[in-house]
Amino acid sequence: MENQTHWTERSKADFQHRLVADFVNFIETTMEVENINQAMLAARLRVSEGRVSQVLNNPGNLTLKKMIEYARAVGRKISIVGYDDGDIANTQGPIHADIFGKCWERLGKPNDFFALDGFDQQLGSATLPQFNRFDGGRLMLVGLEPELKSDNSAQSKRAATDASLDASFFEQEYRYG
Amino acid sequence: MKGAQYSIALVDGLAPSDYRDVVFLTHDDGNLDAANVFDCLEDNPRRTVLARFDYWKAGGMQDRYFHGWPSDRRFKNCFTFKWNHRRTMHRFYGFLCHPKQNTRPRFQLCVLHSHATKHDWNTDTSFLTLAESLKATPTVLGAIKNLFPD
Repeated sequence: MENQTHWTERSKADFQHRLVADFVNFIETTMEVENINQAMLAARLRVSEGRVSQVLNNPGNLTLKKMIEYARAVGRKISIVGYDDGDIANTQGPIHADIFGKCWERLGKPNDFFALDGFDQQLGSATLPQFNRFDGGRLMLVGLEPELKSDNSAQSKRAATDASLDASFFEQEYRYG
Repeated sequence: MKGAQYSIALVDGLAPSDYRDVVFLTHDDGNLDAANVFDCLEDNPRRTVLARFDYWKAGGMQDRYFHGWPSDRRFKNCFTFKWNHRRTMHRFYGFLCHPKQNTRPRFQLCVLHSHATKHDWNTDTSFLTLAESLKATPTVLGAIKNLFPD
């Protein structure tokens, strides 16, 4: 039972549905925070309210273009994040998009690698909260213990554009020693 | 129910977790229909439900997708997963428990037993009453313990 693959490994459609479900959760949560109801969102998107309801309740075929439209309509942006959680067989399923977002927020919302470098330099005095540990023993940490080693330092330094954060920012992985 | 045979069915394809899991409770008489309804779901609603199982198992919070009734003493153990399909509101009803009080007290199990469609915002409390009753049924607890030994 422990080696059983996650349901998202059964087909690309399954995996895709899980990803867009995470996105819909983000949109719906944002709507609640910003007091945007479906009628208002529909007006911003220039579609019918029924169409918005259809998309939010059955997001399986949501395209990237539509995701951008929905995100911008609620005043947000999106990034596509690739990462290595060590789960080659996909027994755990995708990491929830919320977790990447919260990591970024807790790191002070850096918008380029220079801001990230600035954070790294403060490690000596920082002891920050950690996320739950995944079974594989790999962590996506909010903050770092000084004795931890960076396992992925191959990020080329380049300025992020204002359009979106560079997705490789999130692919830093740290292990306990 | 004398001689009642309850069974616990795992949900295929969910990630193992030290913290939470979701299972279906079934009975020989077929009255507990959540597992059967889940197995018969079309692809997209099935994926939606699985995604919401994933989110709850990971510790997410989203009342639009799942919630309990922690403030209602009558139904404090009850839980529901929600989804809409073809303009119909669907619900799986069940209860929460901690079957590993000794070895893993934080481990929380959601045991789903009944499916229902909703046509208004009010909850049919008969499902909640059933959930609380099942949670207190020794043979149900025995079935849970068999799969989640402590």
